[in-house]
Amino acid sequence: MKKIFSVLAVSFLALFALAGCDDGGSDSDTIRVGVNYGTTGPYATYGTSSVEGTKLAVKEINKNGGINGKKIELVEMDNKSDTNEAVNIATKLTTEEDVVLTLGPEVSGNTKAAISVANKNKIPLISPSATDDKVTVNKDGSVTEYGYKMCFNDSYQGKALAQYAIAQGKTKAVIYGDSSSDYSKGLTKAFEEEFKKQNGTIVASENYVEGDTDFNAALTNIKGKDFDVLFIPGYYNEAGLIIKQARTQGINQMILGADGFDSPTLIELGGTENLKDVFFTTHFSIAEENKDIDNFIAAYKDEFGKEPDAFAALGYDLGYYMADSIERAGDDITPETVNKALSDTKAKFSGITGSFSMGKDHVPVKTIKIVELQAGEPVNVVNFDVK
Amino acid sequence: MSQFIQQLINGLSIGSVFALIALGYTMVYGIIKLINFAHGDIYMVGAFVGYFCITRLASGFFGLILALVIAMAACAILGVIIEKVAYKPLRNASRITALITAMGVSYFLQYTMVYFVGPSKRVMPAPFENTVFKIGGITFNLSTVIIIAVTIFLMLLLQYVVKRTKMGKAMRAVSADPDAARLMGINVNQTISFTFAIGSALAGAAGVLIGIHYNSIEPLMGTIPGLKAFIAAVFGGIGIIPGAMFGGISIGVIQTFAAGYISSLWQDAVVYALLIFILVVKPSGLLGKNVKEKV
Repeated sequence: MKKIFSVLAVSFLALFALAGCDDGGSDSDTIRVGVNYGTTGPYATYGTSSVEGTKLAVKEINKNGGINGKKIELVEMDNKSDTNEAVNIATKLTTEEDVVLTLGPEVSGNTKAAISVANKNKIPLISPSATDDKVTVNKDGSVTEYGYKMCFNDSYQGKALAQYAIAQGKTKAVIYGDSSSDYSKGLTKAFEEEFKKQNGTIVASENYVEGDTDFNAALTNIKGKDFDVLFIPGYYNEAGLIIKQARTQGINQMILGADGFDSPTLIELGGTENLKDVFFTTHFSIAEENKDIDNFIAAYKDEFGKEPDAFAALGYDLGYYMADSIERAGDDITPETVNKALSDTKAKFSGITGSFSMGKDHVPVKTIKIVELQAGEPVNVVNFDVK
Repeated sequence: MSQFIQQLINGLSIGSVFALIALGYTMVYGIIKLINFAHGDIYMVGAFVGYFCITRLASGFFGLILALVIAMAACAILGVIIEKVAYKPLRNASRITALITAMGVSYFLQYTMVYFVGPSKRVMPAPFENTVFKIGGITFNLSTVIIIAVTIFLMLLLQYVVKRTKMGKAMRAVSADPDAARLMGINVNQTISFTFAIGSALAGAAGVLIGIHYNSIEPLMGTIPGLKAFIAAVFGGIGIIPGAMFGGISIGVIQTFAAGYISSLWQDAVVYALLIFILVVKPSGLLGKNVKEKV
């Protein structure tokens, strides 16, 4: 009896193994690329925009003949903005879906988790917007062999904002950060260091946790302080409410934020009348005047019926950058050759979020854009050089 | 000084919402000795019903009242259904069984909502111009005033129902001794359903008010306020209606002062530490009487 069972079990296993072989990369007309974003969940607007941007780019590339005649096929999965789910999907994409590289996730925590899978399975991963400094750094301090990003680091944004505030004559800052996110902590640390170095003082620091809705107690405290700039290193869900409650309480000082502010939800939650003197760093803004950007906006509007945000632009650039890297990988397109092409620091790439070349630390060297909001509208975009 | 008053107003506005939710916990506990962990999620459902009323039906102050009435009615019905389906069959089971069922109902409500409306945050439009009042150094919204006013009104109404009406008398009787109440000709099942209806309606009202005040709602929004309201109910003495009001407002004010005068990082820790302290020192809550176990 036992024997029959084991024979059955073995034959079943064999069957599954064969079934697995069936779609094993035999189709040479397409290049499969994994897409691992949170299109639902707390960071849904980031994920959705990123995916849409990439889809638009891939559509254009395929329409123009693809990469040396081969079409790109996106294998999309939704990680629900959840870290565990991001790991599950990264594993699924790199073991079952036969992709040459994967794109996303969009936020740092999930990207870090997914990169560990990418390294293990030796399939490169590029995140368009994971700004945490440690995303492309292994635990032992070495650079992640298969993990890349296409945006600047948090420390870079924090540093830029500190320098910008000082340049505007602001020297007394209050920081109101999210104590539950690595993103916020990274930004806070970089801002603090640079601000102090430039002879500014941090008057007070307050904290909230993700999901909070009432910030009045801390804001009342902040209001009692003598300061000229309020830095909110956080995501739009909470930042929108904080700005609303701060302005309602009569806190009229300049408010600074990073790319976590870049979402229409920030303006909906905050209310247009409250979004004045708000400045944030970002990768892209529709308010900037540039021909390539105008073309992109028109194409995006055509495709999705709405205006693109920075995540859409990064997703779009990522689509072209990914194609560019695959092209540079040569005739034999494998995860290994694509990885080699990605790590080439000499190759220059020019997109709508700026021109860059990949750094040795797998972080691109890029300029930063600072957007000014007045009455809920982006009125001015500065290309800021960080010293 | 103005900062102190400002913090007090901040605390009162969250506290009154905790109180509204805590009332539901306390009433249900008072009558069937069940901690209804799904209560925070009824509050969430109330917020969503309010959202659909305001976006689809009517705006302005009339819209607010309509949203409150419809949300309260919808939540009352939901509360009764939950009681009939999930708790009534377990009325003679051990209390831990009912407690775990309540958690199950809580997750069921949360993820049913996620399925239908998605997990993202939604912006709740204000049904009226949310005027900001500035008196001295103190600023507050019209919505803060409305929250406190509606809460006081509903609490007075509840006091009236419980103390002055026949149904209130029946509720008190069932709470004191369900078997004796049945012998006196009180319809116990109906009374329990009524209690669930009132408690859930209050949570529904709280949901609409909070949705408008913070202009954002999401399917998991009920967890933390539900937990805080539960603490508030225990703090004031679970099973005692004035205890829930007192507890809710105290927790709101304490939390706000902790954030304002200690550290915003510590506000939740202070509230939970307080719960532990109360449970150790006076387990029946601040307004609770020590009831001797009948032998």
